[in-house]
Amino acid sequence: MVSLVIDGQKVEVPRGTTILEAAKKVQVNIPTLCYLKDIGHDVGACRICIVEVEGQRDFVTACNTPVEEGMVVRTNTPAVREARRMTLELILANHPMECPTCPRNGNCELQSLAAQFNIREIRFPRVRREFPLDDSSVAIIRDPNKCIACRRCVTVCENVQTVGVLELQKVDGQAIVGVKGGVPLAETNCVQCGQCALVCPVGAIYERDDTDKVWAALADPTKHVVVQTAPAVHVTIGEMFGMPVGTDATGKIVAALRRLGFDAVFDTNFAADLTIMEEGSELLERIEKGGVLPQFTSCSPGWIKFLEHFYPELLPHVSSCKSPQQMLGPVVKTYYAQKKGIDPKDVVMVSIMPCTAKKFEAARPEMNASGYRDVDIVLTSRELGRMIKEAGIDFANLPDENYDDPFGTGTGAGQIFGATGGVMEAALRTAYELATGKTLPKLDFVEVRGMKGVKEAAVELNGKTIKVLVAHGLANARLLMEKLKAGELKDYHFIEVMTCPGGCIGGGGQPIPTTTEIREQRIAGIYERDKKLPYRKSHENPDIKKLYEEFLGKPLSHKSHELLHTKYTPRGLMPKKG
Amino acid sequence: MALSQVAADFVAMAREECCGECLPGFNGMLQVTGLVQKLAEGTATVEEKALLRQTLDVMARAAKCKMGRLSARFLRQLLREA
Repeated sequence: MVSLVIDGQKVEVPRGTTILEAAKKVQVNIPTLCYLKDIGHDVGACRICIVEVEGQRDFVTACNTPVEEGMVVRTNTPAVREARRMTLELILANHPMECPTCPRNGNCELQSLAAQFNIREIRFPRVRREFPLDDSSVAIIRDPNKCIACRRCVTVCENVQTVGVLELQKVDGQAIVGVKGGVPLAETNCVQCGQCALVCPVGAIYERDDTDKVWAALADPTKHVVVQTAPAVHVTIGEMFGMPVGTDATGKIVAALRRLGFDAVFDTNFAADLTIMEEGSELLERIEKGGVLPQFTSCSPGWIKFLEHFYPELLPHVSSCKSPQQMLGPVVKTYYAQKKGIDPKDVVMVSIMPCTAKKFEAARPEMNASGYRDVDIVLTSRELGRMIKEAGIDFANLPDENYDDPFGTGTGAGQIFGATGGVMEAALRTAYELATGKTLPKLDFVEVRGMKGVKEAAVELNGKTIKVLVAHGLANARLLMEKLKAGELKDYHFIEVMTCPGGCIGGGGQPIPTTTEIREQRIAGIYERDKKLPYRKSHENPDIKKLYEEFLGKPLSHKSHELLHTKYTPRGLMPKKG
Repeated sequence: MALSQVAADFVAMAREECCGECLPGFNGMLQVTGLVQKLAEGTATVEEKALLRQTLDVMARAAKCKMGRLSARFLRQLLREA
């Protein structure tokens, strides 16, 4: 233990503790801006967390300076206050100050700090910035004018996702984050995961807003507007309305969507169950017939794009199943439209997703199995939250409502798709029972749950041991891909990868902030809802049984292949050299 | 050559060399450039002179690297004698 004095308070902390953490022990919150513990970002760029240490002429940064025995720290002296204030003013002099029209208005760390420091004037002349907006990609928009060069996005892209398309650049005498090679984002290996948007303290990186398209569809009397809600959204959107983190707000989401004017509200949990039927059957078939193993899950569109860029040679491992979002679309535009007697051209399929990459996935040219776009418009959790607010709906106090038939029943297995390990667990619940004909003695595969980067489990299936791996965050996925290429994973059968840390509950379209602690609470919410639902195995879902009986036949049938399966595109590294 | 012109030349060089890794270092040098320029032209107001001094004081203690801190200290001394 190390003892020191912070603002006159004695404190004892373990060796290696930072001044920032030690100060919290004595009720001192040192302000920070660029620091982000969850992604290990402590480069000390912003200098907002500076403090005075007795005996040292220069300030030190509290976020990355470990305590020392006998240290005397002062966090609130006139010099410290003046330095923080001036640093903020210097940032603000470069900032466009478009707060009322900024996507982060009301949820901006720079705005909050300016309020905390009681900034009323900026002593410096404004620096004009006229960098072009990069809106080249489907889902992620970069506004370099608002960039404060904190470099959180660089760290998350490089270290957490190992995609590494961003870097600090000096452009026109300004320090901003830009795309490596100076190319538009769409021409890079960017997987559109949106983790950069999640960590950006300001409005310099954000999701493309498609709410206008949805408002227009809802206002068009000739359109039948159908919506689906992803499992991970169920337990996160409440945060935007002051509900505790991890609250299951599914019933309120349904009620809110109906009030917004959607003609039918369906559960993506149902579609996840459909995915399990197809993907589980595909796995059993690959095992029986000696197909390419291990099979990879295909639900996470960032992961798919990652493979297409970095490991195109491994694409034969990927399940041919579309993701739940993309499975529901064509089923709605065929089976449902026929049942309802609606022309599929008049059906608008909207999905509410935790994910920015889902916008990219829906826009993939091959995703039009019914002859129409599988999914027309994708909104992130944040965009739906904004629509609900704009409509004046008192979300937190809405009475719960149920989904519409015929895709209104979703199981707990579908619900856990929203957390890392969930797709694997759901697949195991179904594959075991389909392959053995026996009832699973224990439904919960706790080994694959939680925030550990790589997890593994094994199940006995008709005398054969099925070995599975789960990874979340693309750095962990990359590790597994390297092992696979080195021949280390030969006896594994199934690998689940979710692009974002924690799985979809930590997706790039989720409410901000999304910290590790918040991710854990959302995961708890996911498993709580799983336990509450009447059906917890995909193959027991009565709506799924009915869909196969009335329409699809059986998993992997000709019709299934036509509507629910897809092909991938080897892209290779971008931008292409030469 | 007047010391304020030496300061202006030095700032131009420092800004060029500034890495952009830390905000007071980079943004500070950006603003100091303008203020020192005014000083060299003889158009700096009393308030601007004070702001320049304060900015250099902060940079001298808060910038991340020695280059940033030392540049601020050097300029401060230079301007004191100008």
